[in-house]
Order: sequence, then C-alpha cells, then structure tokens
Amino acid sequence: MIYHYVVLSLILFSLGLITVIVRRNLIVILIGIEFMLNSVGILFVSYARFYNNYIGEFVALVIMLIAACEMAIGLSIVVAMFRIYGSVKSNDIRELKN
Amino acid sequence: MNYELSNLIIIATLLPFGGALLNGIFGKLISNRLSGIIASLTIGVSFVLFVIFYLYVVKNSKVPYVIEISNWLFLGKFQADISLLADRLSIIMSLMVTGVSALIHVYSIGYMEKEKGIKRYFSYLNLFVGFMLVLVMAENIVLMFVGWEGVGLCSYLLIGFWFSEEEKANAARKAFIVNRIGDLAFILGILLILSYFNTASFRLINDGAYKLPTTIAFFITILLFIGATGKSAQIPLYVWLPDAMVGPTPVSALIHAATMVTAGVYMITRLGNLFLMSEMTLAIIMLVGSFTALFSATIAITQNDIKKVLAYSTISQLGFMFSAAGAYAFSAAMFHLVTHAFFKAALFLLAGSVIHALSGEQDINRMGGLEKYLPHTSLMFWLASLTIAGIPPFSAFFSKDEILYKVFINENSVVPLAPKISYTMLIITSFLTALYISRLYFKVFTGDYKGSLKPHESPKVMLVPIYILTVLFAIFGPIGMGSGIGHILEIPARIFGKDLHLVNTFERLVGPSIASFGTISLDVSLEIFMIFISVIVAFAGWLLGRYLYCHQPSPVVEVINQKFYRVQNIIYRKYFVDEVYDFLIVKPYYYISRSLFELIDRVIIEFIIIGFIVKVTYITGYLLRFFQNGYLYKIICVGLIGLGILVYFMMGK
Amino acid sequence: MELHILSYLVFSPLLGLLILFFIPRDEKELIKNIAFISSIIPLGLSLLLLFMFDKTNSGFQFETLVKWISTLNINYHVGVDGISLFLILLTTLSVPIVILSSFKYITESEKFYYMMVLFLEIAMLGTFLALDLVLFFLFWEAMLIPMYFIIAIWGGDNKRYATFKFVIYTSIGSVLMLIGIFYVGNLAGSFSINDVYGTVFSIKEQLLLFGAFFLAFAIKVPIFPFHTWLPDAHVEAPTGGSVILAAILLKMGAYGVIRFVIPLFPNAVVLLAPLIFVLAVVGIIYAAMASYVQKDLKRLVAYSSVSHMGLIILGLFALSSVSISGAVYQMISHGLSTGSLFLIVGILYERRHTRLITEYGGIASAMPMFSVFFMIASLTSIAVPFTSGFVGEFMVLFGAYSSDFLKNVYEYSQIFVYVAASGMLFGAIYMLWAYQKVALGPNINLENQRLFDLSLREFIVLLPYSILMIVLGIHTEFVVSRIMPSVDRIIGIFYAGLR
Repeated sequence: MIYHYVVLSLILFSLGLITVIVRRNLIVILIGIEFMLNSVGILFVSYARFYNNYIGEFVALVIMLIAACEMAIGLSIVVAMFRIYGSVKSNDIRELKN
Repeated sequence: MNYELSNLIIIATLLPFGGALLNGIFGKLISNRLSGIIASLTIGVSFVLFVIFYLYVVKNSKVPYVIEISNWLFLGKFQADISLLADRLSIIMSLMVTGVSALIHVYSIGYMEKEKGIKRYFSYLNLFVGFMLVLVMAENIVLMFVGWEGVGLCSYLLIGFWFSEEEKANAARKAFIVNRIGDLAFILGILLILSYFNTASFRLINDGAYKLPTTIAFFITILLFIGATGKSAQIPLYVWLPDAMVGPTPVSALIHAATMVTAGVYMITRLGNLFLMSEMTLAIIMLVGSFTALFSATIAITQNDIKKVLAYSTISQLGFMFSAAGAYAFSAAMFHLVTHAFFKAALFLLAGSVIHALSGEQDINRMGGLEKYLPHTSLMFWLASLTIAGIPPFSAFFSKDEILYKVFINENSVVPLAPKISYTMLIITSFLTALYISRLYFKVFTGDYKGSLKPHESPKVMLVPIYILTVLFAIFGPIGMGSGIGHILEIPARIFGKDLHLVNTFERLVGPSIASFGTISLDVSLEIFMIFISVIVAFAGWLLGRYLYCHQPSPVVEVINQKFYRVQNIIYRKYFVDEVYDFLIVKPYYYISRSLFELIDRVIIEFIIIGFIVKVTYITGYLLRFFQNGYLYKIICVGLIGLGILVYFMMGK
Repeated sequence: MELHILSYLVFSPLLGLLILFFIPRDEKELIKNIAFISSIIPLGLSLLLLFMFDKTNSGFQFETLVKWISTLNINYHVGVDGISLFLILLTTLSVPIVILSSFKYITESEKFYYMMVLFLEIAMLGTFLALDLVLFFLFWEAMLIPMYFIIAIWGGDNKRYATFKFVIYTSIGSVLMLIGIFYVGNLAGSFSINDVYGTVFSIKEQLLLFGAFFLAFAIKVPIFPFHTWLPDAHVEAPTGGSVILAAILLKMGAYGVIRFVIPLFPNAVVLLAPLIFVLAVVGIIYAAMASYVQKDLKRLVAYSSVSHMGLIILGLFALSSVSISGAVYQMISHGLSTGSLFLIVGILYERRHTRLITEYGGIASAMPMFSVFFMIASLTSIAVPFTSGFVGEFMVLFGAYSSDFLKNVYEYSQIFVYVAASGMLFGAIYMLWAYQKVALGPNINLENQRLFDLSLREFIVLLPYSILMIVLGIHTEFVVSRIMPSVDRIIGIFYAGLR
C-alpha cells in the first residue's frame, strides 16, 4: 500500500526539483521548494500510518510549520530583491559572475 | 664577622645608587649646586665607610669576607647572588674608586656649573660609581658582569651627555658597541667558566683553577681577555676611547682614565689563578699590552687635542698594566693602576681646568704661555707630567719601574721571547711617554699665548680636588717601592749605622688576595741597573721634549715636520685604524644586512615562496570559478550531481 | 572546597563587555572609563591568584573541570601552573595599559574597539589557562577574531593586506593543529591534558603530529622563516593592537611549544631539535640584521621581536631546567620591553603621524621624560644587566650551554649558543642606532621642536612596564621559584615519554 504514497511523493518532489532548476522566476522557484517540502511531508505521514508510529505525523507538522516560516521569509527576500534589482528573475541577480 | 661592619659595606656600595635615584627623580626640585653637593656627599660618605671598613676589618685580617645582599640568578646547581666580596684587593680598589670619584664629583660642581642638565649629569655619575663598586666588590663573576656592563652603560650615557650633537652621540654609541664586542667575549668566557666550575664565585673559581685543562684554560682566559680589551681599550678594541673624549672632561678623568678602563686589569687580577693556568694567554696579554702601549704612545706624540693626547696616554699606560698582568705581576699591575688613577685623573682634571680657562678650547696649538695665567694649574700639571714621565721620586716612577723589572725577569715557557720583546717595547714607550707629555706641557704652558680670550684660573672648588690628587700621586710611590729602590735607599741609612727594612708595602697588602706564582728570585743588582736605564730614558724623553717644544717654534720641529711629513700624517691620522674598521666591518655589516634583508625577506620568502603559494591558490580558484557563475540552476545541478555521487557511494557500502 | 577563581578570571572581562554593549556609542568618555575600569578587575583577580598560588606545587592548580561534550570527552577544563601564571599576569597587566594607551589613538567606533580588546583578553586568558586541547583550540582561534577587527578597522594605510596576511598565516597553522588535536584526542580517548600527557605515540605519529602542532606555534612565535606576517601586522596595527600582539600573542606560540610540543612528542623533538636550533639561531642573527636596515621604527621593533623570540625558542628546545625557565622569563621580559617600545612608537606617532626614523632626531631635548622610558625599554631589549632582559637572556644562554640535551644532539651543538649570544651584540647595534636617530642628535626639524613631553596618562601607561623591567632584573627569585618547578615537571614528562 505504501508504494503508491511513495510514488506520489517522488513525483511531487521531482516536479518541485525540476521547477527549481528550470524556472527563472524566484516566486515560482519558491513554489517549487514548497512542493519538495510537502512531498517529504506526505512521505512522513504515510510512513507514520504504515508503521503506526505517530512521530512521523509530528514531523510532518513541523515541516509545515517550517515551510510556512520559510515561505514568509523567502517571499520577503524576493520582495526586497525586487526593490533592489527591479526584477525577480534569478538570471538577473548574479553577484557571483564568471 | 661583625654584623654592623658588613652593613657598612652594603651601605657604601648602595649609596651611589641612592644618590643617582635622588638626583634622577627629584632633580627638578633642587638647585644645581645642591644636586652636586648631594652627589659628592654620597660618594664621600661611601668613601669614608670604606675607610672605616678598611681600618677596622681588612687591615687586620687576611681572610676575605663575603657579604650576601640578596639572591639573584638561579642557574640550576648553583646560584649567582648579589653578594659582595670584601678582601684587600677589592677594598683597596674601592677606596681608590670612591676617593677619586668623590674628588671628581666636587670638581664637577665647578666645571659643570653652567650646564643645563647638571642633575642628569650627577645622576649618571653617581650611577657610574655605583656600578663601578658593583664591579669591584662583586663576589661572583656574573655580578661582576653587571658592573662591567653597567659602567659601560654609564660611560655611554656620559659620553653622550651633550647628546644634541651628532658627533657626541656617535662617539657614545661607538663606545657602547665596541664595548659590547668585548662583553660578548666576556660573557662567552663566563659561560665556559660556569659550565666547567659549576660555580660563579671568584674564590671557588680561583681555588679550582689548577684542575683546569690547559686548552680550556686558554679559551676561557683569552675570551675574558678580549672582554678586557674592550673595556680597557687595548688593541684591537681601543678605538672607542679617543672618541670618548667628546664627553665632559671630569667624565674623561673618572671613567676614561681612573676607574672604568682599569676594570680589565682588575678582572685579570681578580681571576689571577685562572690566568696563571694558561701561559699562552699570559704571553698574548703581555705582548698585546706592550704593543698597545707603544702603538698609542706614538699616536699621542702627534695629537693636537689636549684630551686626545691624554686619551692615548691612558691607553698606553693601560698597556703597561696589562704587560704586568701578563707577567703575572698582578701586584705591580694593581699598583700602577692606583698610581695611574691618581696622576691621570689629575692630568685630565688639569686639562679640564685649562679648557675651562680657555672657554672650551682644546687645540694645544692655540694655547701656550699659560704659565702666567694659570699658576696653580701649571704647577700641578708640571708635577703630574714629571710623574707620568717616570721621574723619581714621584709615584709612577716606582710603579712603572716595578712593571718593567717584573716583565724583564718574567719567563714564559710557551713564548720564550715574549718578556724580552715586551720589555723592549715598554722601555721605548717610557721614552715616548716622557716625550709626549713634555711636548704637551711645554706647548701648553710655556712660550707665547696664541689665543685671543683672556684665560682665568679655575675656582677653588675645582683646584682643591686636584691639589689632593697631586699630593696623592706625588707621595704615594714609596708604598709600592720595589726591592731595588729599597736597596738603594738603604745604602745611606747603613752609612749612619741604621738598618732600614724597606719593603713593598703595597704588595704585602694586596698579597693575600691575589694570585702569585711562587716566589720570584730577585736579582737586586739587575734591578738597580734597570732602574738607572729607565730613569735615564725618562729624563732623555723629558729633556728632548723640552728642547723641541719649550721655545716654540723650534727649527728642529719644522725640519722634522717637513722631512717626515708622510709618516707623521699616518700617525696623526691614527694609522687609519678607524677608517680600516669602517671599511672592513661597519660598512660591510650594513650592506650585508641590507642585501640579506632584501634577498631573504623580500625576494625568497615574500616573492618566491609566498608568491608561489598565492599563484597556485589563484589558479585553482580561477579554474573552479567556472562552476560558480551565479546561475542558480547550474549551482543546483552541481549540487545534485554531488549528492548523487554521495548516495551512490553510500549505497555501495 | 573548589575554587573557581580561574573561571572568574577568564570570563571577568565579559562583565565590562556586557556593560559596554548597552552604552550608546556616543558616550565616548564613559565608554573609555568603563573599559578601563572593567579591565582592572581581571588584573585584581590575577593578583589574587598570584597570592593564592602555591609555589611548592609544580602541577596544575585551581583546576576546574566541567563536563561539556561528554560523548567526545571534551570538557571545560582550566588550571594554572608556574609557567602560565606569569603569562596570565602579563596579559591582565597589559590590557589596562593598552586600553589606557588607546584613549587618544582610537578616535572612531571606540565602543567596538574596547569591546574587542576585552573579548581578546578573554580569549588570551583562556588560551593560557585551558587544559583541554579542544578548549585551547577554541580560545586560540577566538583570539583571531578581535585581532582581525583591531587591525582591519583601526589599522594604517595598508591594513587590508596586513590583516589578510595575518589571518591566512595563522589559520594555516591552526587548521593543521586542529587535525593534530583530533588525532591526539582520538588516540588518548580524551582531550584533557592530564590524559594526553600519558599517551604514547609511535615515532611516525610523533613526527607528523609534531609537524602539525609546531607549524602552528612556529607561525605564531614567529620562527624564521615564517615571520614575514609579523612586521606587516605590527606596522599596520594600532598601538594597542601592536602591544597586545608583541606582549602576549607572540608568547602563545612559545607557550604552546612548552605546554604541548615538548611533553607530547619527545622523540620528534629529539629528532628535529637540530633543525629547530638552526632556525632559531638563523632567526636571531638574521632578524637582528634586518632590524638594522629598517626605515620604519615600528618595523624595526617588530624584527627585534623575531630576533628575541628566536632566543626563546633556542632556550625552550635546549631542554634544561634553567634554559626553559630562562625562556619563560625572557618571554615575560620581552613582553615588557617590546610592549613598551610599541607604546613609545605609538606616542611618537600620535604626535607626528609618522614612523619613519629619518623624520625624528633630537627628541630627547623636547621630550626628556619620554626618552628615559625609551632608554629603559631599549636597554632591556638589549639585555643590559639589572634589567629583566639580561636575566632571561643569561639564563637561556647558560641553560642552553650547560644543557645535557644540547650536548647530546651532536658534538658541536654548543656553537649554537655562541652564535645566539652574538645576538646581544647585534641587538645593541640596531637598538642604539634607532635610539640615537630618534632621541639624540640635533633637533633640527621644526615639528620635532614643538613636541611636548609625556602627559600624565602616557606617563602612567609607560610606568608599570618600566618599573617591572628593572625590578625583575634585580629580584628574580619571586618569579623563577614559581616557574622552575613547573618547568622541571614538563622536562620530567619529556624524559618519561622518551623512548
């Protein structure tokens, strides 16, 4: 049974990762990160059900909490960047130039 | 021993330091004259204390006293403490040091009256006496080194007393550094002594000296002797002393004539037993001493600066003392040391009086005829000149004679010819001594006055100390009378049917404290014969000087000047020793330092090694930069690949 | 009863640090006063420590052990013995002096400066007192941070270069030492020094570990040829930074050698001693010669430090009780004299804003009191008797000369001592030259004529060092009797570990 949940979380994680790599818009990248985090959350919950160990559910809750915080900070950074650089494209914001 | 009396010595030794502190710290609060009086009083009291100690303790006892003040250096199996050794040798030396110092302090009150930094001056001068007493009274060789360096330091400070003139500051630094060369050898000698004897105490070193292998003894003594050549201005380290004459004249009298420069002789006497272990060193000491005597006497003839003449004369007289020490006639060396301290201090003070009278003029060509203006000075200068020339019955006649005789009868098994060569050089030096001193006397005091300023006789505060010194050097001689002279003097006594026992009081006095090499068989007739030689030589020198320089300008002098112009010039320029040293040592040292610094620090370390490391780091970073170009997706991709590799290896396990 | 005096001592500057933190940065006078007063507290505590110190006990005293990271057996472990005692005192004495000397020199962001100095004091005290390798390393590295800021913010024109060099040099050494520490701790099963002292290493391990530890210390000391960071750091650092650097930071390396290298890796010491002797002696002579050709007064003093530290290293590796005690003594003396010299250069710099020797001359007529202090410091630096420099130098030279260890290294190794002794002469050459060029001679420069003598504050700054230099030159028993037992213990550990 667990198999389906694992595949689901894998698909979600991959989608998130591809989003992070491919997209240039910082907000979308943040959404991708959120995808990845939630996929991990799903994995935790499903395993918690599977093993009857409720700690996994706690961890999932913690992950959600952290995701919320991260999103708040991330978005504010994006806003700040927009103010400074006038853009939210990751390619425009390159301080480590070649 | 008597507890209170041992305290006397401690107080006597520390008093000058107290005076130095008082003048150094509270100098601003007191007047110039008071400062001088305080300084003179501390030394005077110290002198009185030494006299008391001498009369009540040392005179009646042959045993040395060790007075511990405090512990100092911990050197493993033994210690080098701050403790004093009061035996006849050190007490006599201290009496001389404090006595002469006290007189010169008093003289300084007058001489330095108009100087700005007089408190600083007296503070340094007191400090000097303190260190000199430490040197003299030290119970162990490390403490002696304290005094040894300490007096060098004070000499540095005092030569550079008028520091705002570059020349004087240079002379001071030269003195210190040349002394340091000697001190370096001295400290290496100390290290050798300490590690072979496992003690620093003079008594134990002298007691254990006979066990020392000859080669070790040679190394130790030659190192110590190099140390002595630095402090006592012998070849090859004498070069600082003539330059040191730029200091105030009382300083020249005290430090560079009477006390500090004799430290080398005192040290050799103190460690007599050790020096006796190496005949090679003794021969070297004797030859170096007599050669220095001759060498500097020749320079003294040509110099025109009144103080320079006296400086070279000091070097020459120190050569006499070293020759005596090399002939292990330590008593004779010490006796000459004491008489020399009296007459040379007097000569310097008189020179100071002349300079003072002429408001700073030091060139003897611009003096002359001062007899009329400075009657006291000229009289005493005459007496002092006769003394240094070795004319009886003044003290130097006795002491110099003793040295000449002891050197002549000395036998050295390693260098058999050394005593005879040395004697020859010394007798020539005796002649030259009489010549240069009479030249000086007649050029300064007879003939016509060539200056423009009207000379004035010095105040009493300056003259009285010189009078005391004059009395001392005039009558001190018979105390150290050699047996030959004693013999001559006994002849008239015998005629009247009286049996005089004239003996060398000085030798009997210091005898218990110094090393002796068994009894030397005395040949009285030989000694009498030699006395005649030296008296004739002295008179010849004096009369020649009188003939040449009394009624200047003498035609003979002109002829000599013209004929031997080149030779004279070489001698006048001091054989170019300073220039040679400058060319061989001073300049190369700077350039070697400079090029080494540039080469090692700038080129090898900074440029090649560090530069190489920097380049490697830079190139690595340059290559790695392509992976870090700021594109987010690239960074993540690299990270993912890394993660993949990591996971692969972890799975593989 | 357990006494936590050492912990109080180490963290006592924290009090001042916290107070300073809450003071507005514009209250400049208040900041200065609080910084100074709070630096007196550690001084008082260390004096208390001195009184409570038991000189018959050669081991560590007032040990405090608190469990920290128990899984790795890393503890907070501090203790003091005769060797560290006087270095502690030197530190606690130097910091108030440094703070007082900076009152005029530091004119911007004072608050941060004094906080950094106090932070540095914590780190320095911790380094001397730590008896746990990891704790030692922690404090050791912590020193770098405030020092970095002190040079980088308040430094001279070329400060970026100097800071960079300083940090890179020291961290290279530290990284290697960290690896060494982990290796040693892993093998010994504990990082505590008492456990580590008993551990036996194979010869190969010893050589590698020796390399790791010694390089870190050699850079810090610094030993020729790792010395080139020092002149730059000294020249660019503000006066206070230079004083701390010279008086205390350089001693860290030598302290590390005596605390860790000698007792831990005896066989490696035996094998590598000749190399170290050569480096030490070359350093003594070379640095003295390099000093002579410097144009910058501060650089001259910096090179003289390298020369003196060479002698200290020679004394440490000669491994006789006298020579090591002498080296420790010389460490104290060098701290006093060089610290003084840097203060003196700083005072000149505050007035004239140049350190070039040629700019000066004849200062003594304008600043007589200043010249006296300059003279005392110079004389101590060139080891004139009755100054502390002579005691240290003579003990090192004699200890090394009579050392059995040195004789056993190879037959003619006493030649090192002869050459090292000549440092005394070379020292006199450059020091007196510098003194003459600065203080003596005619005072021609108009700006030099207008110089004013020491103010009361500057007088107070210079006085303690100068008095100590002379007192320690005459009365040595107090210090030596406390150093020597601990040194003997270290030598005992060395010989016990020797195979």
